[in-house]
Amino acid sequence: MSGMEKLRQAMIEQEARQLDEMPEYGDGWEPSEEFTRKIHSLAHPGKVSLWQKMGKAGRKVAIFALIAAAVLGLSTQIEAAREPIRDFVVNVCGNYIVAWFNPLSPAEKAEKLEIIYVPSNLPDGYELTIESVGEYSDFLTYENEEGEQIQFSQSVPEGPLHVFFAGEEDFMEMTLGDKTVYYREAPLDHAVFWLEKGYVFYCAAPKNVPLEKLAEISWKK
Amino acid sequence: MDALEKMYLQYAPRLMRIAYGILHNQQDAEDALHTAFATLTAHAGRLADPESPETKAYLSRAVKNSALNLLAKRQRILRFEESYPDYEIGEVTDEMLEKLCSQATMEMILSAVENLPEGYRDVVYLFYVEEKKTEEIAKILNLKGAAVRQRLVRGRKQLADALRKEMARE
Repeated sequence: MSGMEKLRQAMIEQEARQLDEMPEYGDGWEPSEEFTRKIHSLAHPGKVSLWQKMGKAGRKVAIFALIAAAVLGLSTQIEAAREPIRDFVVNVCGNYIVAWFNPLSPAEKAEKLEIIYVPSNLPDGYELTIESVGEYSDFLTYENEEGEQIQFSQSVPEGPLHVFFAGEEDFMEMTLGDKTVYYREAPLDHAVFWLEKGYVFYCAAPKNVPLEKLAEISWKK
Repeated sequence: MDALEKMYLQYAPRLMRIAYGILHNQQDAEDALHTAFATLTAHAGRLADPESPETKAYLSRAVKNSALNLLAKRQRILRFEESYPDYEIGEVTDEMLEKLCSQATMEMILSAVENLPEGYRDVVYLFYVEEKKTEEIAKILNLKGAAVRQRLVRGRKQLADALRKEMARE
């Protein structure tokens, strides 16, 4: 074993010992509601990875179900047939609202994250604290001195994209500036997502960032 | 249940203990945990077995980094540089450290590591164990690049001095 390997091993051992010896947390930890909500959102982002986990058979079933639902909708509501096909379809599944990319959408779709866009026109005081870029999606978090966060993501439009709590969050389609966006409002923050340039963009911000500000977000390479 | 949820359920109490041990405030500690798990989502694929010792060590370090970053951001403590005496700096190269560590016993190295001031040890750990560049360490610990380089130089020097002292005693 080289000298540096010995040093690395000693550092790992010391760190493990030190962390094991840290005192217990008071009378036991009761996670706060805010923390529970944030961790739940992380564990259930419903992004591309979930779609990929379904496997080919699962994807075929899901696409068939969406096509069947769309065809059924067209046959029972003739007026609806004159409406343009939506880029997203929204399903309520038990306690969750799941936003899917509509496989029938004729919109341009990127296959991979080849061009990465970053937000501009951020409110003052926000700095980038988390940046995670994957093959099919990226995720950026900006934070201000008060610990408030603005989150952005850019994803390849495929499969289930966003998952929200049913009942706790209002969810609607609306026009903001020149964009048609999906908007959701939760007790502590609000968010929009929309399809543009072949990607699905998502932006969530605290309530003190006005809705108009969310619409002003422009993206640059 | 996905890997992230499994890891959360298994390790959250331990990770909370680590974060709270550094920050002494539940809300800050929860923020540190959340940041660590958010960062983890990007690397979840690399942590194939949520129950492995490697995953436990990785998560512990991730939370510690988040907590140290937050601590620096909150500026609730004096900057490390103000809290420790200014040691006389003589450059200790990687080659010198390699030679000293190869001659020393594991007990001697462990003792030298244990006696490093916390702020130096974190930088040295990230540099040698996680093989991060000084700019990356600065970002992780929310420090200036110059402060990281200074801690690295001082950390190496203290490790070398401690090992020389131990070996002279043998």
